[in-house]
Amino acid sequence: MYKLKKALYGLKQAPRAWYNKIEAYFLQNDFERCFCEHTLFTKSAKEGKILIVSLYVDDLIYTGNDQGMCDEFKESMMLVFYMTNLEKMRYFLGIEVLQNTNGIFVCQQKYAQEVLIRFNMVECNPVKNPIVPGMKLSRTDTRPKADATLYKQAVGSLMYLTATRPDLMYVVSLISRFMENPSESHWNAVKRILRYIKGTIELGMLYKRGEDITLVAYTDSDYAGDVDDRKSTSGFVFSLGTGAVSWSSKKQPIVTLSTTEPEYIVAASCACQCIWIMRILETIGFKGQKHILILCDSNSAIKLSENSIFHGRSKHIDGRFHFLKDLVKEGKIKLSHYNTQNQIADIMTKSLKLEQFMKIRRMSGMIAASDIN
Amino acid sequence: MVKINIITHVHTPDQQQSKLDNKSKPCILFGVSDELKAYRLFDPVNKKIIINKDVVFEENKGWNWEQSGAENHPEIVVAAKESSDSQSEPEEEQPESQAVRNDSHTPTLEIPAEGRAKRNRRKPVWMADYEEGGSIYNDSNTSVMLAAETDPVTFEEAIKSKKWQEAMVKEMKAIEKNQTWELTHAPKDVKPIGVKWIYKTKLKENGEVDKFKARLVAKGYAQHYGVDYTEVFALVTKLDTIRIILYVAAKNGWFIFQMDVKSAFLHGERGNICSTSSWIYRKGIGRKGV
Repeated sequence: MYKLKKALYGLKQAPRAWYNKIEAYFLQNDFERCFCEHTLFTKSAKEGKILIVSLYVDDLIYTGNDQGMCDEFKESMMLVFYMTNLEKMRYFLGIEVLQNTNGIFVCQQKYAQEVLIRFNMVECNPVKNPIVPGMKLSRTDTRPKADATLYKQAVGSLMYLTATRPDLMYVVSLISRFMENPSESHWNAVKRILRYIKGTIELGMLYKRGEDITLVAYTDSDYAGDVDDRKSTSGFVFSLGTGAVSWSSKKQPIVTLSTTEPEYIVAASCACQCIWIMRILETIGFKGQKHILILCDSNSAIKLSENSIFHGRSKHIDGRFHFLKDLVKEGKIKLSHYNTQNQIADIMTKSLKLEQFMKIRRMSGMIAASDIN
Repeated sequence: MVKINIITHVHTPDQQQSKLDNKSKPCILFGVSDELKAYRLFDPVNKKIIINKDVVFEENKGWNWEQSGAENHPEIVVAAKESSDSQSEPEEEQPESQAVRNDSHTPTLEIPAEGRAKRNRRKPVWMADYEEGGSIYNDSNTSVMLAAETDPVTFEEAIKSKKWQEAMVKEMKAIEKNQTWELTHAPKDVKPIGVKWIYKTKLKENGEVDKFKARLVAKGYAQHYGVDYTEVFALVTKLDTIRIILYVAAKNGWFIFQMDVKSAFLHGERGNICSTSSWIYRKGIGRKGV
């Protein structure tokens, strides 16, 4: 019989014990923990020098504006822990990272290939868009049932691809609604996504060098897009210049009565994310942006956020969404109208026509690996 | 009264059968289910127990176990394989009049003489020119290759090969270096947790073998919530944060570096681990190969 003095893999307490240990190490070494993201640590020194460390269980990435600080951190980590793979970030959590003088390119080409192999779609015919424009999927359809286990596996595999690919976000969240009872038409939608991936396997995000950092949020919603329960889908994309950094597509929790209402709700949930991202940016040394611009294509939603006048059409809106009003009043957030033609968030809420889809995809910062230079 | 061991025909649900499939499959009655108002049946083809009440009996026909055990089993399995093939390639089942008699190769499904008579399956005409490939999987070379690609599951399997032995030695060294445990006598009322080895082949980005990794894990599933532990915690970053860092680094032209902490969880101090879970039982993981 052995008595454990330290944690062992497999114990329920092991991850917690590890986090306590590494957190203690960082705090001892004058790192500051970000209060809104517990795995983000920063260390600042004189003359604006900064070191940023992000932790993912036992993998960590670090960057900073001073080579000396980076080296010092590396040395000290090697003294305390046994480290491997000390190199320029290249392959992290299945995401391929390419760093050069033009910027940083991230993609999941290898993972995408594995997904295609897993679902036996390596030899399929590629298509140009992930969903047939205007297609509606319903929970109750009369087609024969598909294999639910396989369907769930496919949804899970595709979900991770959205880490670098905002163009898949809408379709993946759409197919995930039918996980409990998929039919053949749902499975065909999955296969179409896989065919689209086959055709666009090289796509990834490019973050260019020398861009200004201005956080802008694009929001959009459809109206009663779900044919079963008439709920709307909200979508938003955060852009810091050219590349999108955060995106979401989600069915709203409540049924709405007017087209203004879902737009108002998405702006409110986007505002929460805005505040979080601003805090992260402040932690890693980017202060100065007074307010965040939310670009929304509904004028009436903007008006509603500015004037606290209740009228017949809006008096039922749940109080929590008026959180947005307070933020607008405080001046932290500014809503402004934006042309639907260039609305990036459209890609999160509807199945677009091919031309528009390609245009918005390009605008969100996506580019094929072979086109970088 | 239920007569055991007689042949029955279980109806296949409509969703699971397509137009040309059998509507039922022959099974052997094993008795009545304890949980449900239904019969317990044995499916000799898939070797499974089925519980179903949609059943037709052939009361005067019994299953001949001696015959089926010795001769029929391999053939039944072959037939099952064929019938699953025929779902994907319906052409294989041709009308009997067109088929050429080719009895020497024909695998037949022979449910014992007193069972329901099945028609003979023949190879289709167009198959005459082909060599059947189904047998390559039995080839000894392929099975060795397949085994080499999959990781061992048990200690006994792993200890046979050198590479896994080395991996285990490495892991034991890491554990000892961290002074993870000490040998003691456990108090009477302590229930120790077992440990086991997990083996995994790690691949590089280009698909080449990176290393063979052996990891000693405690059987955490033996711990009980509220007794041995009170919280489960995983330390992960939101991908949004990582992308923001990437963007900021790209904008400023900083380079991002990465590193892995080796055997990270072994570093954790055992501060708040409850007493019952801090004992592990180490029989059989042993020092045999180390």
